[in-house]
Amino acid sequence: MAASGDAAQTEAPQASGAAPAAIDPIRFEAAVFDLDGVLTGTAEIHAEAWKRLFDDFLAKQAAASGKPLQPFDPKRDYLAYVDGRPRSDGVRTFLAARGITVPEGEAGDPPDAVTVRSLGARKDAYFLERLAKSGVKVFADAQPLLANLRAAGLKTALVSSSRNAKAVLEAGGLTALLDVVVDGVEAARLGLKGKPAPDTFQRALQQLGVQAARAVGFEDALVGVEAIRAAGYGLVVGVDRVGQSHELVAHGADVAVSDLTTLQVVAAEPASAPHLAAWPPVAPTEDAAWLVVEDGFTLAREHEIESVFAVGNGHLGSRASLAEGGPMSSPATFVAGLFDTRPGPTPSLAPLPDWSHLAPIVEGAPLKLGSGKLLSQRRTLDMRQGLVWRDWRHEDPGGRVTRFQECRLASLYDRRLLLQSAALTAENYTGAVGFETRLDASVEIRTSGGGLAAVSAAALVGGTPDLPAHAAPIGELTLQAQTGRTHRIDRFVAVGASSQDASPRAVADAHVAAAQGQGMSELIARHRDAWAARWEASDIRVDGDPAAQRALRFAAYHLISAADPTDARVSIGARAMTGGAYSGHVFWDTEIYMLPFFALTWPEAARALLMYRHHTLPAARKKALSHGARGAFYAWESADTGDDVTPASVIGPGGVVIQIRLAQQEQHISADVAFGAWSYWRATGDDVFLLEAGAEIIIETARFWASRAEPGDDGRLHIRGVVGPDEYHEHVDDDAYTNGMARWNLRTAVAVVQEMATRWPESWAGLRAQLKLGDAELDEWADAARDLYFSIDPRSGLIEQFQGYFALKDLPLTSLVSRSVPVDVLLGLDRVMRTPIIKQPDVLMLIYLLWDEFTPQVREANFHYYEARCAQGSSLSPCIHALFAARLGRMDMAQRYFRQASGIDLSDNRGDAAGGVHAAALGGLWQAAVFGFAGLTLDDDGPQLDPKLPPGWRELSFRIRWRGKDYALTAQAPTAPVREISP
Amino acid sequence: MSGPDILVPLDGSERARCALPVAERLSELLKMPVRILQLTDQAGALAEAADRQAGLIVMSAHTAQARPAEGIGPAALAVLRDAPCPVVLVDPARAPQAWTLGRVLVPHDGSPAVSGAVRPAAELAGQAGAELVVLQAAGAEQAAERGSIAPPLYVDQPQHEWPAWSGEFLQRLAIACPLADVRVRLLVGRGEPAEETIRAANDEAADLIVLAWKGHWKPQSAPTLKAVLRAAPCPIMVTRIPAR
Repeated sequence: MAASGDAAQTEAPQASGAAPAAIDPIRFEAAVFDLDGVLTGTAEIHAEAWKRLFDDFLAKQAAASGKPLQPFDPKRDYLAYVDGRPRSDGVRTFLAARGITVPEGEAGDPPDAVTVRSLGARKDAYFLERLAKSGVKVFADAQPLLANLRAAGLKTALVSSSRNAKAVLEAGGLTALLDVVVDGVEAARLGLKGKPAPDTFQRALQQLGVQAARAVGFEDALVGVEAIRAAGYGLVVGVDRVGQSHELVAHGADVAVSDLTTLQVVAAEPASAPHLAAWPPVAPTEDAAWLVVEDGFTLAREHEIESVFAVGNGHLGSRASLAEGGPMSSPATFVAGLFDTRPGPTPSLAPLPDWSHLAPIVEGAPLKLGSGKLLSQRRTLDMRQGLVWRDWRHEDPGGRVTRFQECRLASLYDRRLLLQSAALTAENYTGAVGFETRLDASVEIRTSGGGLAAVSAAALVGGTPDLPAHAAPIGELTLQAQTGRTHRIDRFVAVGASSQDASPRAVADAHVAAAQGQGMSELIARHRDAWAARWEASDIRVDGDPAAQRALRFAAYHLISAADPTDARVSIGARAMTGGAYSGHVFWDTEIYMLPFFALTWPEAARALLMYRHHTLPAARKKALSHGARGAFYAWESADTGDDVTPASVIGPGGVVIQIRLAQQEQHISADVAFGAWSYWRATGDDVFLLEAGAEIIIETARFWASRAEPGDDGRLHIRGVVGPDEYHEHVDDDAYTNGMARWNLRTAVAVVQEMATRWPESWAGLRAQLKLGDAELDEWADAARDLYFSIDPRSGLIEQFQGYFALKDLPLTSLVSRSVPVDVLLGLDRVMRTPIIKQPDVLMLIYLLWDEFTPQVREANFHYYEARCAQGSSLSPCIHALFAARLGRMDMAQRYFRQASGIDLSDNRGDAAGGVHAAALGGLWQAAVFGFAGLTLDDDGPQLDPKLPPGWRELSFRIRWRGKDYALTAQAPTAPVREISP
Repeated sequence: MSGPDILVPLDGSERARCALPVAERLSELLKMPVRILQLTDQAGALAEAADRQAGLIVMSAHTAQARPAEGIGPAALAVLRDAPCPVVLVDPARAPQAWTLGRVLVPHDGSPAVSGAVRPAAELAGQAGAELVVLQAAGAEQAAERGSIAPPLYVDQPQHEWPAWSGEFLQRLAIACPLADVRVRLLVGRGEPAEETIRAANDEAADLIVLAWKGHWKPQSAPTLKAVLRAAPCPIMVTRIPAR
């Protein structure tokens, strides 16, 4: 297949010295290399080792059979039968070509045994012996290409069948240039098939979080080229070191090169000088169901608008501040995972410079909303396209009328890019117009922890009908405005971050240059396509309730904007990256409220979120130790390292200092993380995740609970001194949610261990040794799950939220119905603690998550009891009540709670969203619709619906992916019964 | 025509003179001269105020032997209704001998209109070096004006919610009410505004309460102002919320 567009410029095999091919750093996110024959010259050593092995073997065969010896050909036989294949496959394939079959054997066979395993081991020994003598030859073109790719922001990986790949990379000084290595050891551990199967190349992309279409693969072996092609890579480069270009192309390479330095890592040159077409660069969405609109201007609401209309792509998040700024502007752009402890003491996401600041200056006077007369203004969040629009007409004090239009986005196609396109029209005057900006070239931000972000910017300026485009620093720009003429400015901003990029500045510069070359319309088209693909998987449609439709799309929009499947080192904070509140800290919100959306509509993103928890396991282990426990005790609030960053105190609304003990007591988070890992595995069947991360999370959290539970006089185990999801009651014993989830965690760990031992004994042996798990400890978990205190009243079906809860003096919430402040403010937390009033679902949350473990009577009884006592003091509360009420068929109540949850960010007169949107509540809203109203359940047979739609809803439809299959699901309101009215 | 100044209407009674220590201290702080106006009728006082562009009127809330049921006498009420500037009312029964301004209490319903109306409170606190205690007290009925801010309905995590909400409240207040040179503290009222204001004034030992008022004095309107007039332990400055 020929490469298309701006990726690779050649169709025919290409020799060194011919016109160079180009790799566009915007189109491609990753480059994956084979080792032998591509980066290093170990192919010769391998060939020698194979020849020594087979010639010795064949000589003995010849002597025994009396037939003439036909030795191993280090070129022809090497390329045809062993090159690129796993060692055992190589033995089998070559011997089969000679009509020889030998037993498989097993690991540990004697060196002289005639088995596949033994022969393979001998070859390995020959290889290492030779390698030790001669060292590793790194091709001269390998390091420059790797460095160039990384400087342009591409991730790099190595895929090799060799079990010695890491040793070879280390010896060759290449280790630091590769983000991921999938070698023969990894392939065996995970049961991946060797080349030409695509498994190992797919595995590399899974670890990088990159889609195959956005990856370039480099291979010299024919089977390797076939493997990359089968994996669906966007570009397959055959590396021809031995004169087999045509064969490489015939086996699937898009292009063959003999010299890697002929591959340039640059954007394709535009076909002609850039031309800025009439504004807008893309047609706005007109369907109101996809739009959130703010007309006019209310200065005090600006922070809410900035949050609600924020744009993001999971790597970058940017508030929708006014381009010209204003007294209530709070612009902020964040990079996922880039935290700073200044001003401290707890780490917060570090804001980048205000890239979108673009303030018109008309005839020397800044154009400001606060000066002159606002004629009209409309701001629109275009959720379908992931854009925010502004159309502003203003008359300045001099009577000049200016129209300023703008759109901006955080590219979902190239996550390093931020784009802004603006148009200025002088409606009734002629004069000079300049602009103020805060970013015209490049700046760098260094965090207290040594993190670095580089932000680079460039702009193209043009106009209609006849103004040619040219690049220009915005700050030096003066437009000669004429009545009726529109000037357009396209701004390209890129961010490189040390969390992902070895050279953030070089990456930012490369992406800006590439973006500028491609032009705004093309970039927006790709961004729009990326959003279209996401909506294809994640959209949820409501027929009969436009407000609910908008709210659910709003939820999905911000969840999609918050996730980055390519970064396994970050997670989603409580307010995502739409505001500075909550400092970007990650809570249980992610696993329990947001993850279901991702696990069922965007599994790659869900995986990355859970890998963050795997990467932060060391900190969780450290925290457990500091609390005298074993295993993993996850941080209540987590930032970049996984250390607990919960503030120790706060000044409350009465001006008094409140001590915060949640880091110590809100321990259920460990089970919540495990529940997320297990739910993802159940939804996807991603066994590789279980083996590389999920099992370890589930086991280490179970280990925590086993060590945390204390024996009581009643012969049961107890978990004392905790806070459940209901944070109105601190330091309680045997919180139902905590104990219930801990019990689930212990049981699940036992089940996972059994599953691993049965299905993946080698992996299980490795993990067991790594975690130093003995039989006694495994037995202890089952015992702990059995003995852990948990009580359901057999008569009433009620679960006591914690020991002593039922003895608390009742205080009906109805007596506080006119309250204007949260209950803990109204009564004081000390008093609330002495009442059964709860902040949010605790028992109900447990029943929801473990629905099948409870009888209908228990569900009903507890909902009736606890709903009446819940003050809805958390944004995480109404959505769960909506879901629960729907499942129980209480549709009016369900709809009331659903509307309450919908308004948390979208109600326009409270100010709740000023510090950012409530990401968990948005995830909860999606769950309320899908698991509540649609009644989705999932099991081995696939998805089932049990619809209970609220009044007015005719239909609810959405898609999910369950165990690799896509399902389109539609829940419909029952048709009204036919009633005969004739006499 | 000259001004602005601080106009002190006196009706010749001893009770009316309770306003003088407050007026004199405000004169020092605001650098405005005090002008005594012998009050023969309230229309005359208002004409004088308008003519001289008074910056402030300081007067006794009433001069009767017994405090009127609503805490304000007819003359003060007439002035209050039509005054073109803020009015400081001093209850003769609680009048300070020597008045100092160390703490200003501002009940606030979270609306932009009130933020604009209490601007004199911030200016006064800044001049006096006084602490400005803002009491968010909207009661069961939240302000309906766009851009209003209510206490957070959801306090997901107090360690984050309260700093975020306080910052947002004060930033919205600062749009119309310069706070740069003022020590500000924010309280959240738990109940109805009048009750919370009186309680906070006592608890905080406020020297002045600054109340924004829409200008309606019907039986069912201005419940907070009326209640505070009845029970305030300190002088009250009433500022007007401009009619829309």
